[in-house]
Amino acid sequence: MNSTTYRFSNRSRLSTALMIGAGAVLGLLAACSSDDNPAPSKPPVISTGGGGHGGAGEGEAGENSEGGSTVKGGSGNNGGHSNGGSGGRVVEEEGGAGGQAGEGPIVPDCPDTDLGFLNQPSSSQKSPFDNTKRLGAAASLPVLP
Amino acid sequence: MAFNTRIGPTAIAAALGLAALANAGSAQAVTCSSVIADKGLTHVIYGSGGSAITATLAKVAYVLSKANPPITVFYQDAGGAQVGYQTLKNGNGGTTARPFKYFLTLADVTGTPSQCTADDTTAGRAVDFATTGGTLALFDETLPTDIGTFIGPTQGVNVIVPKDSTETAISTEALYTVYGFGPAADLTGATNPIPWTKKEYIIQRASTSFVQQLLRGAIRSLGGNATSFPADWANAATPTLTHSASGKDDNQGTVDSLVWAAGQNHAQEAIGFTSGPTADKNRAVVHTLAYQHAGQTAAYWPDSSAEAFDKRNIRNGQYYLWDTNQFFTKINGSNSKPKLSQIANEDVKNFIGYFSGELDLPDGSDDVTKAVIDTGSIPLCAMKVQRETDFTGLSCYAPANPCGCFFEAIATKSTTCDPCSKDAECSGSTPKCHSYQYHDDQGAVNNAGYCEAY
Repeated sequence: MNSTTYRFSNRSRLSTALMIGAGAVLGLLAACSSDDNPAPSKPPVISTGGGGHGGAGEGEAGENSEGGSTVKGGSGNNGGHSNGGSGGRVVEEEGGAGGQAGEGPIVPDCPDTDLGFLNQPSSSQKSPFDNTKRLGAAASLPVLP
Repeated sequence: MAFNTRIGPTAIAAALGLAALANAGSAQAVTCSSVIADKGLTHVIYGSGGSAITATLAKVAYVLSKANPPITVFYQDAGGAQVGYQTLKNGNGGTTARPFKYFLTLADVTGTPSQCTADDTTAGRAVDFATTGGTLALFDETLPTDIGTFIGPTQGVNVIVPKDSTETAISTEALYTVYGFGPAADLTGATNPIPWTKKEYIIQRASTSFVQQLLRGAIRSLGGNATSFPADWANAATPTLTHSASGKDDNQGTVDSLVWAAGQNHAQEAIGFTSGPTADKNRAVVHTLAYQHAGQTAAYWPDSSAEAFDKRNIRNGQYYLWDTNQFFTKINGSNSKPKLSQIANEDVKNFIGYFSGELDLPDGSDDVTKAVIDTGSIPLCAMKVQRETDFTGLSCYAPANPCGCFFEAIATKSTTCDPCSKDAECSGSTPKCHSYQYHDDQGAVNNAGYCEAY
């Protein structure tokens, strides 16, 4: 899934997303407090995050932001981590231009499909297995004997 | 009196030897009733199930044997999870072939546990609960109306090879080939063919075991010819019990079989699968292969690396081979989404409640959660994903009281989470302080606190 689908291009859309996210947090709390069954029946959560503020200039880097948890209860809210803009260049006489505001929430931690979870971005060690090289003809999954 | 003849000590030694033999014989015949009477045990419960959970259950049972009031658990695990479940339905636990284990000392947890049988070693006796690594759908079993299902911790299933094997990964397609064809696999055209083509070193469990059924389900998810993948793989593989040190079909037996293969200088050709806790417990002699599920772009370990213990890729859904433990016991009322309060036996209710994390221990400690983590299982409070079924329907999961930081601190001996003793010491995206108190194996009290997201 293309992550750019979830990018927010301006602050008003970002604000809307954050408001929805806040409501969703309340929804999560309500769900948790009312559900005393240990079965994993609570709504799934995703992280949401607002865009980082741009740097104020004079070489100050924009801040990073990382949102809290929220629910994806069917409304399709999506959020994510965002990095603050890079700091402005230091100029001798004047402060540099403020860093560009971080991009709005991108998604993230909560894919919509099983394969999305299996192929989610990861810093974990991995070891690709090449079916063609290792299995040859058997890679075509012939009929069982 | 001093031994003043040569025959004296010889006779004594012979007598001692005979006594030892007699004791060994009687050890097999110890009944749980006599253990209960000798030790004055109260709050005793009997259970049966698979061996995937045994390492974890053993430590939890040990913790509960020290609780106030203590709960003593007698548990049989030979024969696989399905046999364990059927024991609950049929009331035939603790026969000579499948005795109960119990865990009153640390040695029972870390070594060979004490054992006892039912009074009737042929017919067995009723048990109070059963447990399986996944749902009954894995075994085509049904749930009687008076039995309820309750959720326990999560566990991985690991594909393992001897420690000296140079293999690091396997795919679903390779599992289909290895366990579907064995020596008959056609690897024509493979430039780096897999080494697992000798039946005597390809190890399988009984079809009644949870780990075998979970692997079978993963293979069947390939579709096409794989949808008819059988429950038993006798044409391709050798049963665990052939080389199991206990002579029984259990998770440890698979490790024993791989150790045997390595001892025959066939480490490279040997392969098997076992529960995550069993694999972790035996890292000195076996290593886990990274697993690449169908459609996945790379193979991943259950942990973030081959050496780690953080279970990160199970907890976030990147590693496919895992499931959530189920407990079964008699309940009052409807078995549709039953509550702990419906469990008829108070001690079983407490046991399952403590195990699942739904109930706090009487002393308020987190010793059961720590025991679950210590033994390679994952408490639900450390999970970030859930599944609708044993194999499909992944979604994110938000436990009511997250314990991911505590999990990492115990499982890996370190954590990047901020320590805390109160909320005011937390900030940013992790504003909530969660505090824990637990005992180490020597009984010393430890306190810890970590900032979590909520």
